[in-house]
Amino acid sequence: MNDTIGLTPEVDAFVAAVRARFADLDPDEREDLLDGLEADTADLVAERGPEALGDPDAYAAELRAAAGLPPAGAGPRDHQPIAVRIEGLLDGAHARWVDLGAGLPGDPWGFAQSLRPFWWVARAWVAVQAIDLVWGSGGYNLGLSPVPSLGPFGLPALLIAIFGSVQLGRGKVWPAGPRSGTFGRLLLLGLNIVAIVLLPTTLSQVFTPGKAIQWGMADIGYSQPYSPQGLSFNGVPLSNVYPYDAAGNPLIGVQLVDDEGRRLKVDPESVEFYGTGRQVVSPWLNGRTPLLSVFPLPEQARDLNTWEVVGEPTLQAPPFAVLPPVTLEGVTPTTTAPPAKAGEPDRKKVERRR
Amino acid sequence: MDNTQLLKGVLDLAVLAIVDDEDGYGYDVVRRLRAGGLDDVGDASVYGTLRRLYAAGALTSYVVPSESGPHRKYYGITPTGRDQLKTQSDDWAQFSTTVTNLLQGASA
Repeated sequence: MNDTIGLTPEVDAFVAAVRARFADLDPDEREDLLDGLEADTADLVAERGPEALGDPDAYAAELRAAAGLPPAGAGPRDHQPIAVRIEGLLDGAHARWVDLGAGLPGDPWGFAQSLRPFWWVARAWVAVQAIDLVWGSGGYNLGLSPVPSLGPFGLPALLIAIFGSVQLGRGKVWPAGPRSGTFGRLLLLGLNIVAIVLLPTTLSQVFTPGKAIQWGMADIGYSQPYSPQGLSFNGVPLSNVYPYDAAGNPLIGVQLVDDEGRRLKVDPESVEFYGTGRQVVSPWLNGRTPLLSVFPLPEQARDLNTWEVVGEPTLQAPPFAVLPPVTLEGVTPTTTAPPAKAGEPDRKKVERRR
Repeated sequence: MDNTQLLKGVLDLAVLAIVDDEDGYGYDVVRRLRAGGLDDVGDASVYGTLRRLYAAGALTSYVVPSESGPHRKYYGITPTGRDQLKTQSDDWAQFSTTVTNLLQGASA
């Protein structure tokens, strides 16, 4: 036996060609089968010349048959690891996909590949929006914004995600790249599919004007929160007011104005809308001008069954016959001289206290 | 004479016998089979057979590094392989005797 084994280019090429025909085997099995083949082939060539090598196809087929393996391309074997079968399926699908565009003019596959960086950015954006939707403002039904909010971290998170996605696309980080393995490949495929599915939803979430709550309100007819007109108390419109003087006696015909001279009146429409009045009020008259700022207002009852107004407007009894008298320190309750003509209030002349 | 079909049936037996005689690496086994008269044996068939017998536990293997170039993978027989060799030798002896007798009867 000769201990010096001469490797020639022919031997190298032949062994590489045979090895390629065992690509469907898992690496351990392949190495088991091909281990020592270089030395054996080199011996053969040393003894009988390179022409003894023959056809690598036939050689590989013979080796397979003798080793009890099915012929190459015979389909997945039962004991073939599932990872290898999945890899085969993915490779096949990829090849068919590329073949689809192969014959078309303009090289559509090359075109699509040129657009890959846009996809890397888009999927990063979708990923951060998805996080925003679950843990950020989206979770409060506030909708999404073009730059994910996530408090102050939206923009940094987006930049980091884009960096990661681009590195992933360039095959620099797991689960992409040459050492990804079947699991990594499937994971990547799954993530990309999720991003594709989420992309339209995310776009419509971001670019739909208005937010969900407001849309809901617009649908039932008030796009702004309603605020009652006229006199109101705690946000609820008042249908009538019963004034008492300082001694606690009810007053009739009290006209109310505010510090700018505006008449403080009730608004029957607001009362109606809120349903807070069982009576219908009638105005006092200044000549022919109806005034709803004079209290108490006469009321008419409403028939609760027909909702019709019945009877003549009359002044109702006040809620209390009398109130406890009130005093103001240092001020004797008495009449106040009118500071100015009604309608021309001059606050400089108002003597609030005497 | 084309022995290919006949060879397939007895290659396991022949390879076991060669390795039982003395450990050997792939091409060495091929060479010894040819020296023994099995001229038509294919290299790849022998290598495949060695791998299969190894996988079945009939052979053991070890690597011998070479000073230059790739290492050689040697095969030796295991007790399992020896049992298999014994059984198959007996079968072969019985089978060949039967066939020989048949042929002698036919020519007689």
